[in-house]
Amino acid sequence: MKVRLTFGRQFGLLLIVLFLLALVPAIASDYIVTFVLTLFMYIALAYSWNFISGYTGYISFGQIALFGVGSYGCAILILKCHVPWLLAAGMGSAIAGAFAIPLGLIMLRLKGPYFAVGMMGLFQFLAALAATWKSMTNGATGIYLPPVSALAYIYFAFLGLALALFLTTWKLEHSVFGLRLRTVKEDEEGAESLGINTTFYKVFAFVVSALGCGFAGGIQVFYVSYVDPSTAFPAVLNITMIIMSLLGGMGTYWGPLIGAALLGQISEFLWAHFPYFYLILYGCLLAFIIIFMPSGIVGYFRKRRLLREGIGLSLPQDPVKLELAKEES
Amino acid sequence: MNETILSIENLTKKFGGLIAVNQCSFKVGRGSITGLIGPNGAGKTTLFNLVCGSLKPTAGEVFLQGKRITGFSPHRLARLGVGRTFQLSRVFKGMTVWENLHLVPAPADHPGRSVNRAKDLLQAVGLENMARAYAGTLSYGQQKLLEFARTFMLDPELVLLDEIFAGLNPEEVERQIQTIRAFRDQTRTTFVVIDHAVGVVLRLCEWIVVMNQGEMIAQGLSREIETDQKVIEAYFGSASLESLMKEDG
Amino acid sequence: MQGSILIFQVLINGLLLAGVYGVAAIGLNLIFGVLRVANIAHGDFMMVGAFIVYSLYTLGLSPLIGIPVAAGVLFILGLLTERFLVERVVSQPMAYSLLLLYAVSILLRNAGLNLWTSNYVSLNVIPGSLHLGPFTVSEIRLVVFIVAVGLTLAFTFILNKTIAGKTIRASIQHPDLAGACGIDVRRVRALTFGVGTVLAGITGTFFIMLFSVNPEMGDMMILKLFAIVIVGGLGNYLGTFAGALVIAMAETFTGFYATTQFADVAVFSIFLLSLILRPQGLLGGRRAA
Repeated sequence: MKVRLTFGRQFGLLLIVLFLLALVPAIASDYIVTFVLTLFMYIALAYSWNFISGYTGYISFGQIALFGVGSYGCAILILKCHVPWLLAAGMGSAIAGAFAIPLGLIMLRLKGPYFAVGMMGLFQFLAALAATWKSMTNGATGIYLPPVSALAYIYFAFLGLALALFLTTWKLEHSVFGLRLRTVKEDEEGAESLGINTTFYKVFAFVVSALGCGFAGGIQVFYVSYVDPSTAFPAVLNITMIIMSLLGGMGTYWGPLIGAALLGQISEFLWAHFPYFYLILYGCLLAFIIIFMPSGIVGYFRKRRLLREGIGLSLPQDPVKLELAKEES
Repeated sequence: MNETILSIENLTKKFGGLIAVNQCSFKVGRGSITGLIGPNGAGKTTLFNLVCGSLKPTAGEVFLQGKRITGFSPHRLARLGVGRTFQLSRVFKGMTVWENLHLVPAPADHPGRSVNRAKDLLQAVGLENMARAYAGTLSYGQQKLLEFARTFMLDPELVLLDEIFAGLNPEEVERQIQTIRAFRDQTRTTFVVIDHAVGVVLRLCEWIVVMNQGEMIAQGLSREIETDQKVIEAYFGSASLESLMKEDG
Repeated sequence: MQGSILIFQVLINGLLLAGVYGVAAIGLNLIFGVLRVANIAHGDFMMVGAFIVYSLYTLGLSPLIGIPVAAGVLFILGLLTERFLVERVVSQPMAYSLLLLYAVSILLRNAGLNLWTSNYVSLNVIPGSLHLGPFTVSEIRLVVFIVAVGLTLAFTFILNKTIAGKTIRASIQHPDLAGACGIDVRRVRALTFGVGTVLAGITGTFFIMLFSVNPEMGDMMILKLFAIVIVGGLGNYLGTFAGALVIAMAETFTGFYATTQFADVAVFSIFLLSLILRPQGLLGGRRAA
């Protein structure tokens, strides 16, 4: 029995869920509140990664670099300019977004592997910069901030961010703008010949991703009341946001939510039982997903439904591979 | 016939030591169907790429309706009304036929009306029943038709067709010829056609430009080109063009 | 003329380093040429080689035994990785192989961290220095350089003169055609990946004898290797040496005048600069193979 979810019903459902979520800080223990708010952060990051890598096909191995920019931006603004924390997080996000414009214009000219490794390099580079630019960032010692007054504020901040990114992604999937963005992944050259300015769309996605990561970084900084190169540029989060997006389904709008929710649970479990091995398990999980279910959970169910309805999908030829092969001849 | 819509002057493209296109010049009249033929490696597709912005010329100029468009980026040219199809069908396979059409940005000078436009175009190419199908499920011939229709969402003045007949069976070839003629008659769009099937090109096009090894060796009406000695030699040495035409009708 | 002697000294060190980088870069190029896959885990394979030699050394076995053992282990590791993992995504869009090799990278790196902790280690096998005129060259650097050059020459010879090498070159230039000529392309792929990882692993063993490394060395290494490949042009073997020279020189010079962290900053800047200024690096070079 299938229940037809009309738009009105979906929206109503969302409101109910939001209402329930809003009650959590009031009725649940601190441990649970912390768990859920961390989940919201994961969701926000997964959507941010998905926005650029899922929709444009430009796989980034270093989006967390923008998280760090947001973190430090926020911390410095709080410390040196005494900006209230939420505004500081927002401004940190804006800094990350502004930085993403020239960065995107440079990096997104690169083909697949170069972009991926380039972002990885940027992440190292910024972490190293944070450690050495002592005057600005206090180097490896880090910056201490006044402690947070109530956990609920952080909770709602992350909830708001996750919701905003979810809705933006939803809007992307249901708009012509989104269609044009997705042509970048399908066939950039073909899209250009149709009048689509692919550079604009790529950079747009990259900036949105940066804003999301930056804001998450800002809120997180206030949450732990501290920032140093390793908390601003956490390698683990970098990996996590990629796996979450992939597990749920890259390039879909439910994917990151499902992936983050699932992996959030799993990671709690793994952290508790295998504190040293869990990253190795993450690596195995990622390899498993790529080999057996590259379109993630959402993709898997979508394919099954399409196959049942008798519609097959042919694999598009990989334009990047064709180009890289062409260039060498 | 009348006004010139596309003018190419001394267009040259060098790749290191290799000269792919060497000082080509010709004009294309508005509303005409012009063919660009030549043996393999003659530089036809490179020329297309130069006109459409995928490649930047080493020297020379390109003018669209008198305005200089040399080296403009592909998307800018598309917005100015230059449409182009590719050798391998480049429809977006993961999107539906409808989405493929709908995502094309409206032309700069008359936005809006794109829904009607899409419907009309689908009907014109006979794909109106496939609107909700994923482009990847279409047959090759249908994909080419979709690509053709999609190019027209731009409301182009000039359409460059790169090997649009490749991979089509004789029935599909006929259909494609009719479609091109119909579009030209109704909308006065100008077509420039590259194809290996010389016979088809000679039949479809009124004006022919012939390239060989990057240079233009002849241009004229189809019946003139059929018997032009230089063209025949370029293709085969001294065998006749007629026997080539007999092959692919 | 102390100043110029110093500069030459740094130049020599840069040259010696370039020889070492070149070996790993060749491996990366080879894998890309035959499999059309960018081996993100190349730096981590280097790390595996380094730490195998290290572990054997702590058990009392000299690197003369350790290096061949590491080479053997890495060959098998590379073969298995290709056969069971990479092979499945070879025909897919590049994003898949990128992500898969990223997963391999994570696996290797964290396995390394588990086994050997994040401490930096080094092997001080040949501590002496040679004095050539006014210049001082540490013996180990010279030895490693000579071995690296030897390997490179041997590899070039194999690639150009032997049947195995020609098979590989055929597979690079025309994978489909090669298959039609009776070449078992799958096997070539697996073996090539194995050879590529062996080259990486051997370079890793050099590294641990020259510098202090830890299991996270893959991070920086892959960036440097990519910088080399970009400067030199992907697939262009001669260019690889030019690229290795540029990167090694940049690293050695900044490392000398500033701290090692600035050296990393310099490398990343070169990476970015070469991407902006040298489009051919993005578009690949002419194939020398």
